[in-house]
Amino acid sequence: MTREQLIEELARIVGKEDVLHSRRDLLVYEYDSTPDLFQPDVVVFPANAAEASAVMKLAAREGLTVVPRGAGTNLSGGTLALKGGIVMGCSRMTRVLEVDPGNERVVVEPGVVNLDLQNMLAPLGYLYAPDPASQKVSTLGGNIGENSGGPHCLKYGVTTNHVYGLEVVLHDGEVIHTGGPCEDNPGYDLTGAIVGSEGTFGFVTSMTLRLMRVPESIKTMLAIFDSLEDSGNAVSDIIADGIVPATLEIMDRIVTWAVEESYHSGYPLDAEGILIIELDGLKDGQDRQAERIVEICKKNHVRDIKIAQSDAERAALWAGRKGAFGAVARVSPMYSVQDGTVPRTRLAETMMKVVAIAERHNVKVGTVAHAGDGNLHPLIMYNPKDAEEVKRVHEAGKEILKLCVEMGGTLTGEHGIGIEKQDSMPLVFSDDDVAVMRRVKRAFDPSNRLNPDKILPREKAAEGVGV
Amino acid sequence: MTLTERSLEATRTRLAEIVGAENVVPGDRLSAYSAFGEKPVAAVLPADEGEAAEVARLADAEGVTVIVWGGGTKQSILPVQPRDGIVLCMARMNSTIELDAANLTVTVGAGKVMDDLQRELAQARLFLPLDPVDSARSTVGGTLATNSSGPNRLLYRTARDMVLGMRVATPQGTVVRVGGKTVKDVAGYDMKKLYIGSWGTLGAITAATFRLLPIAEASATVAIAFPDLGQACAMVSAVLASFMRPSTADILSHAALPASMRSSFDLKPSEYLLLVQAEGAVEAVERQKRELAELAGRNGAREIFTLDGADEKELWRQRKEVFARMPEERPAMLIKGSVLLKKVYDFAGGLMGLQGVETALAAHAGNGIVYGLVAAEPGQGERLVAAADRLQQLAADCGGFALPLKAPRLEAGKMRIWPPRDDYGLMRKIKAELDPGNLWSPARVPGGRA
Amino acid sequence: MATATSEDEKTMSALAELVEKCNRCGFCQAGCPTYKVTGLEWQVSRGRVALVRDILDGRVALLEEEIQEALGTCLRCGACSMVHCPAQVQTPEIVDKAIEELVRLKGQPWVQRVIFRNLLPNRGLLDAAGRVVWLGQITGAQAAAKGLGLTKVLGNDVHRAQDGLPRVPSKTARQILPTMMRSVPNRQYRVAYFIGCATNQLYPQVAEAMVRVLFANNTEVLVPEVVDCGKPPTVYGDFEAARNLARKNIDAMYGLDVDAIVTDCATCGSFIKEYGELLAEDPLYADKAKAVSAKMKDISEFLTGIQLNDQMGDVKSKITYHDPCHLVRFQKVSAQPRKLLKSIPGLEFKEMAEADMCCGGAGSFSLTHYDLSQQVLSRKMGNASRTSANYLATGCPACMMQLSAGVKRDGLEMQVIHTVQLLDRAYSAR
Repeated sequence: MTREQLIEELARIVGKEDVLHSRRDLLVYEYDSTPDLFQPDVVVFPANAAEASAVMKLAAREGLTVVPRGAGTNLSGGTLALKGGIVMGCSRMTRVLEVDPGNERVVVEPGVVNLDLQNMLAPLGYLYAPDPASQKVSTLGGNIGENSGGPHCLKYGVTTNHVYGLEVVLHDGEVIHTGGPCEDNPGYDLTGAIVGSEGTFGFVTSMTLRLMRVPESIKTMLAIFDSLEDSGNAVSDIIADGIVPATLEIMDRIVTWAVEESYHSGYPLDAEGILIIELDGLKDGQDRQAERIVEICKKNHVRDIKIAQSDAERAALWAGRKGAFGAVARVSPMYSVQDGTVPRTRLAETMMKVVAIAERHNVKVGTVAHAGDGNLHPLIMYNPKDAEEVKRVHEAGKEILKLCVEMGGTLTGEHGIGIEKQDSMPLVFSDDDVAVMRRVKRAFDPSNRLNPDKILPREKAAEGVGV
Repeated sequence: MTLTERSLEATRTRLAEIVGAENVVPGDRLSAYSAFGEKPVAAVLPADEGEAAEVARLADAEGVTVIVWGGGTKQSILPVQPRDGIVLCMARMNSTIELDAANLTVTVGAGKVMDDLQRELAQARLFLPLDPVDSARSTVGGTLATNSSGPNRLLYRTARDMVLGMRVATPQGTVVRVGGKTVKDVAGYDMKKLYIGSWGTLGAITAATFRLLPIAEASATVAIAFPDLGQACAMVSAVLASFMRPSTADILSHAALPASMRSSFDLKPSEYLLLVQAEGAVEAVERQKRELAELAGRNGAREIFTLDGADEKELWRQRKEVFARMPEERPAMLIKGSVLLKKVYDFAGGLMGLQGVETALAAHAGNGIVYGLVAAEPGQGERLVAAADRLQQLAADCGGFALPLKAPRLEAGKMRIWPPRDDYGLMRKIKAELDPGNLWSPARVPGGRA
Repeated sequence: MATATSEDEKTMSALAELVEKCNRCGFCQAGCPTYKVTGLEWQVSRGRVALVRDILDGRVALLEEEIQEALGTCLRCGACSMVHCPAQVQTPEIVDKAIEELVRLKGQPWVQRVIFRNLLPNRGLLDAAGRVVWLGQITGAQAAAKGLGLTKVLGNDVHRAQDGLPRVPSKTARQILPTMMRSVPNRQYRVAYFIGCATNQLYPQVAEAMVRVLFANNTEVLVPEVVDCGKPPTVYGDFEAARNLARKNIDAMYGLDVDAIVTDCATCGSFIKEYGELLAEDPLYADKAKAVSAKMKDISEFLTGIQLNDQMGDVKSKITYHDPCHLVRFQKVSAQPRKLLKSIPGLEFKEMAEADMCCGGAGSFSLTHYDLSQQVLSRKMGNASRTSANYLATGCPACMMQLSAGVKRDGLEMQVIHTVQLLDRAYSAR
């Protein structure tokens, strides 16, 4: 099939307007939020499962690769069309199909933006728990692909803990329904396998998600520490005391400095660790728990600790943390976001070792971490025009990955493997471990055409597919 | 593949080489590993994952069926799995590999009995929020492989929400790591989700790492006797819509309760008991006790009991006796319905309204899960088949499905075990990839044998 | 194609510095109106910036039609650069500069040149042109021309957009205002009132309201002889024309003995506040421009900065408010109009969703990109109608035009009105 014929066929399926193939159009779909560029051969936007299925069937017939795409904001290269082929976007599938608080379910199309769903649910007194930092642009479909997290993971889990069922288009166009609106579905948990599969198992066209009642009361605290170690100990002591906060976020000195540069929130520039702690649930007992947290922080030499007394104060305490990435970007537009996870008790130690790694490589790094679950995001700042510095940033990033694994953690807590950390998989998984994953991939995609060459370490004999 | 007597001896010899002769179960004791009235061909107890993997390799080489065994509490769950192979019993792999209290994680061997684990954790003031009713005998591996859960799934969810990592002995004879030790982990595919609920069809879980919680400061259970089912269901809806976050919302019919519970609450035969447990800060528990009592009153409660301390513990111990044993003198079926929350009343009501059979009900009403025990008069076993069919239709109308869990062999053969789904094909492909020889519990392949 | 000049090089190097700040995080998607209505990556800031980068890298050329389309469809509303972009990448500026360069390469269409360089600076001529349109409307000639498809000659978009254009009143504001002018007995303030072209030609009633409200607040009003503020030519890359217009206006307004220069037009106000930057390299005008910019205030800024006359009558109604881009983002004025509206007795204020999202008017956007303009307008109309308000207030005549077209198109029971008109009603109701 020639390129023209392919475009014509696709146009017959999704409509002419929803097949992009011009020079300009392909240029803007060659990137996501990582530095690499890979141009697809064509971009299509199906409106529903039937159209997506027809596209998949065509792709199967012609041996073309298919890469699903949401907002294209992932941080590991998951949306890059490594082998050209078809990029299938979900921008036309943006409907919230059913909101059913009585059954604690909502059914949505993959192109719905996470925050848009939250805003729709808020007036009803319900929420969808996974709230990644990218929520104002990332799609729910993308969240499922990456098994996105957010600040509330310690208490509420990640995306996979809030997905009940999926409608999926498989490699050959077959449309299946995994899981379902009810619990304990018979057979294998295909939903659980697909969440986090980074678009390599199929194209999701509908999702049944879990709704939760909003908490009655939220108590937010900001604690300022003079040392990372103290803040880390405070975190451990809080948990050891039997308190499970909804959120525990930490910013180090460099990030705090960037935040001060941008927003002048009144954070002291010499604070080594700023902690945001949030309790949620029934208001009864919250004050006492908050006081207990204050006590624990004081025991760990906290310099200052504030408890928000109103919604406005709560927003003010969060503003610095929410604007952290932005603040760093203002100081240094180019930064490499790392995403390692370590056991919580080793977080402070890891953050300090990250600083040492940065110093050794002569790069500047600031770290924001989800202290509650040990997921840290070192932001390594660099000047893209300085090729030497870019190399050093790469080296530092690799060392940080290794460090996280050495600390008993893993390669990625939220951003996924994509292509960015593919080659580091052997740090965590043996050949046998990977072999089992390959088998499952083969079950979903025997011809290796769905977002191929992602996640699993590249095999020596690469299978080439293309138009 | 079944083994002839001669090849059986050879296999037993090889098994003894792997696990040691004393860990190959002698012929006269094989009945301990029976199910559906059949003894297995052989049974072994490996000491560690290495031995388990070797057994797997042997089975692969010989083409012999493998059936994984933990505490043996769910071996009789439908579909019928013939014992034409080796039972791989994980009971000896019961050590606590690492308890990391500061990080709220524990890594244990798959053979650890659930209650034993909870007792150990309690010493560190921690608990695993997974409370299947057979926890006195069921093992960690078995609980995960069968995706078992208990009443506190209302707040704490199920196995998939607390497993951080596992080790699995594969049909190829390797031992693989899936997941890790951290709550946030998206490295590679989430294989844990496939192994949880796989019923031994994809390999044997040899160890698991769990996320733990600190034992709550306080807890109390409000037990409410309702004149009818509708009121109990209405109360559950009201609780779910409120700000309360109870850990259980179980509705039990009179016939389901052990005698001790019936008398404790003086439950009349037509009445239903709702158990709502609140755990957490002292003040929050107090508040929920009050609010639940109030709600109960408004929903027509006949009587409200509040239990804490030792009484509460005893109540939940007795709860575990519900449906623990099938009636012996009559044909009976245990069936599990899973329906939409708003449809729990319709389904449960339909169950309790079945004619020509006796019914009892135990529901995790806040999760849409309804267990029903249906018993017929001797000789009227076909009524169970009709009941299963009726309930499956009803469950489908209620947005879900119903699975017959236990039934006499004859009647079970006439029931449809697997509800209609369009993803069995893919599940079979995964099974075929992970167990190409189709040796591991082949009768349990999702969707039934094609 | 013209050979590279030092102007080209200067622009390209400025662009290179601006685009390299984009790290492709994609957060611009959160606010970009054209992205929200199309879902296309080339319709969002990140995509536009990527294409400019590709132009600089020689992968595409500025003269390619699709590239021009990507740039031209940017509303320059600032939702990206001023709200969502963590690194504050200046996409509106990038697009402006790229278009400026494009005009340099392509040459300016003669029609534009005539309008920007001959028509706009000549107030008399511009007023006359307005009368022609008015005549065309009242005689039915315009409708006839449309029916015959004659207006297609001006472009398919113009042909389709003309129904959305308001009826041109018979008299301009400049013709009406002189009869209203009087001294103010207890004068506390004096202002110069900059009347923008749209207010002058299309919404003289807003100008009348402005004057009455200012009088009611003991403020004397001067109406300097100004020309177009200069914003329109910049959208089409003609910064030279803009500078000429700015100089004329500065001549008219510099040194006036006034407490402030006020306007009812968000776009004019915003652009005049930038005169200092626009003429920074002009040794004769740099300081004067800065002075004029410093005195420029939106009417809502001025009124909330003084002790507002609270002798108002009831205006029983439910109103919602649309934030003009050039007010909420470019001038950071959003609390002030709301404060004024909420001070009116009897008025129920209901905030609409996405109140600060562009209406899609963007000056002449509906004439050049009709479909896209309508799509963005639809989103705004949806948000507005969901408030069930009977008045849709705003602070820019360009927005008023677009919003009125939307109300008409959708048959809504909602009246588009300027903030100052509601204040006028309140004072009159006393």
